[in-house]
Amino acid sequence: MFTPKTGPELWLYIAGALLVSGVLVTSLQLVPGRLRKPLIALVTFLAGLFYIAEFFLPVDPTTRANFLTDYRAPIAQVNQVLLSFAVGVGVYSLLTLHTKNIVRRRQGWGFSVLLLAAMFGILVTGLLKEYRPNPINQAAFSLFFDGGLKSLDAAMFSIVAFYIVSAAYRAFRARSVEATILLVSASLVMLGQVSLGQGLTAGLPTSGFLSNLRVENIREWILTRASTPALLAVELGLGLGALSTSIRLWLSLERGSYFEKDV
Amino acid sequence: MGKWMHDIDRRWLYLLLFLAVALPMLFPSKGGSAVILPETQSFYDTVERVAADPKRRDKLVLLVANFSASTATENLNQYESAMRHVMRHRLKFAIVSFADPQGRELGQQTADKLASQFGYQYGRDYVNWGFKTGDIALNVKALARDIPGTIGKDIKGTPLGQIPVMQGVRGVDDIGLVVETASADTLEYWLAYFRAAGDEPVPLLFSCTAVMAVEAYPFLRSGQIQGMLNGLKGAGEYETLLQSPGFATQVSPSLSWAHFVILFLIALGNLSLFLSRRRAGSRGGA
Amino acid sequence: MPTERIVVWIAAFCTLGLYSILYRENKVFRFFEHLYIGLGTGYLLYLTWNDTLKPRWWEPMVQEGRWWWACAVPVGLMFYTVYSRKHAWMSRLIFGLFFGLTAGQAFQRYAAVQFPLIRSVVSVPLVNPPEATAPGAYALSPYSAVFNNVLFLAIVVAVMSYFFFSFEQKNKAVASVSKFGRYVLMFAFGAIFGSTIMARLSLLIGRIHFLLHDWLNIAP
Repeated sequence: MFTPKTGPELWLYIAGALLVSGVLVTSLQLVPGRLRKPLIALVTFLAGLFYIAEFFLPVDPTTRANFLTDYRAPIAQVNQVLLSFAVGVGVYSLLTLHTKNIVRRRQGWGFSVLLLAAMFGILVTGLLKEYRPNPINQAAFSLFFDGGLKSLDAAMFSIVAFYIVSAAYRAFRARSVEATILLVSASLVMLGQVSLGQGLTAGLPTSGFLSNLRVENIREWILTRASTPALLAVELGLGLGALSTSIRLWLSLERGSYFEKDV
Repeated sequence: MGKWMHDIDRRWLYLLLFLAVALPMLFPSKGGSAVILPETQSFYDTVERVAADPKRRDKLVLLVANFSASTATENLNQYESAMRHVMRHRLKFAIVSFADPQGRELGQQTADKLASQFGYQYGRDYVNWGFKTGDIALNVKALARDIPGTIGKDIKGTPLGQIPVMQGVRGVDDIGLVVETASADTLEYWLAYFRAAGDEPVPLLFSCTAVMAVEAYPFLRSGQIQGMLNGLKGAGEYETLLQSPGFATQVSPSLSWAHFVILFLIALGNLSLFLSRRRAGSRGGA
Repeated sequence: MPTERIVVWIAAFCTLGLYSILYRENKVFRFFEHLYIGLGTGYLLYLTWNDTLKPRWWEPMVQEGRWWWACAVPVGLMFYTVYSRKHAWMSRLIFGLFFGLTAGQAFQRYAAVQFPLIRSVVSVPLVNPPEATAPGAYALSPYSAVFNNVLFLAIVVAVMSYFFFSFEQKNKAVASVSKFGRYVLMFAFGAIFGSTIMARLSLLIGRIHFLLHDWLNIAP
């Protein structure tokens, strides 16, 4: 049955698959309320069990695989396809919000027109570039991507530099022992990572005890000897935390507003 | 003096920063010689070692472009240098992006820029696998076992099996080196599901934004990554090692002066705090 | 005017438009902000179709005859039930599937990422550390290499104790170790802050270089 089809037979099969799966998905609504949470927990458990079994079951030493290993790629494909559908969830929300703005002539509705026009503009020119590759379509896409998106993306994130300057002046103060340690460490790292700062101690020898006082070596010491073990300890704690959270998620033991909501 | 320091308009600070960055560009001077940090050196050495290793040099290099234009000043310069290094040794490579859709476009633009210089041809010497949506962990784990099954087709819609450069490339054992250029926390996927999944561990290099670099040092120390480029500074050092000075080297004076402005403002801010405390202290004393 | 030049002019206006927020909140900024969101969303949609859905779902279904991929449509639409109060539970079913798939990999992830890190801690040499004699290593004498390794272990223990004993401590020794751990963490956060400054400045440098070099052509 699960063999590729061609011609009109293929379209019949596609229609049939759509119908059957559509009916199955719709009929889920018939599941009684008290069974819904157990059903969600079962799906989560079985999905997790696949990778747990795939990891823990012994493998054939020659192929380095067990009977589950070869299902990784098909599962990745299902993951790619289904989560691509999920991309539309956010887009749908954006579309409804801005369409309502335009229809109801809310304040700033012109910006909503712009947002939708930009969205469809880059979408259409992108697809044209792929399906009808010619210099005009390439250029049209470039106006949106290189002219618009790339520069806006870069500019938006670079604005933070200005705010950091303001914060450095107003908030980065040695008000306590902890804040002073933070300030000294940050200042030394900053000095050690630029050539002007490195120039301050360039007169010191490059080897021997005094070389330890060269600012780039101090920075390197802070990064690799002082902050590395601290962040390593944090990472070890995070690893344990992630493992325990994953087990709780897998066994549907996780609590919180999302998980405890009535279904 | 303290009041003036307290009330200064933030826009003067912005202007000061702008000038600190722009003036060294308008009046270029030779930046101080960059000190090459050990992690940059080992990044460079690892590519050299792979190129010199007869067992690895014919395998595919993965140039992972998990970044967007937002961090292009750091990541794109690192990525371009890494690609240049790989091309210089005539290694075959693939571009792929899992975390950010712009990565595949920026990766391709970089390849388009360098291909003619090094005589690289799409399909024969390199390929772009494109951007794949979905859970990155699932994609990378599947990639270790079955690359054509996980990727399917390249950006031009050609099945991977029909692309010359992909001939014989099945899984992790056919990958000679992974260079992860990232603006997000995606390194761990390669550490967890790819690096050690084959017969021998695949060398893994990490070029990241400076924000992320500090947290990656433990992996460098444990030997899970073989080298690292730390932001724009790392990119500049790498350009020096490649003897191919580019953007990162050129803007080094701007980076220096901007740092000094921030250090100056931190000092000024603390002086203002000190003065106001002393004033409050003397008032209390009176 | 060639396309490249038009692209540069558009990019310059986009950059300056966003930077106008630095002066004060204004409509020009809002214009470019909406343009940014629209372009970002449209680009994501284009690539989701072109790089994933088309080659991984549509073409296998209609060109290679794998009709069963049609089932992905109703299943994928389950995500959208999140907008309906009555049917929202169905979205939890599909989210549950992905929670499960991700959670199931946690053991491998922990083993592959954490075990080498733990090994790097427990194998820190306290006698004759190799880095003291390694070529190109830091300018360390054998004594300072030993000192650094002892310090390394002390910091790991102190920071872990700071987290594990985060409740009020009556034991003075544990409290002092935790305090040391807190100070060292501040040191690490300082390093992160210093690096963050470089990262953010780098992005600004990229934009200003674009304006002065690519657009105005006044910087080399």
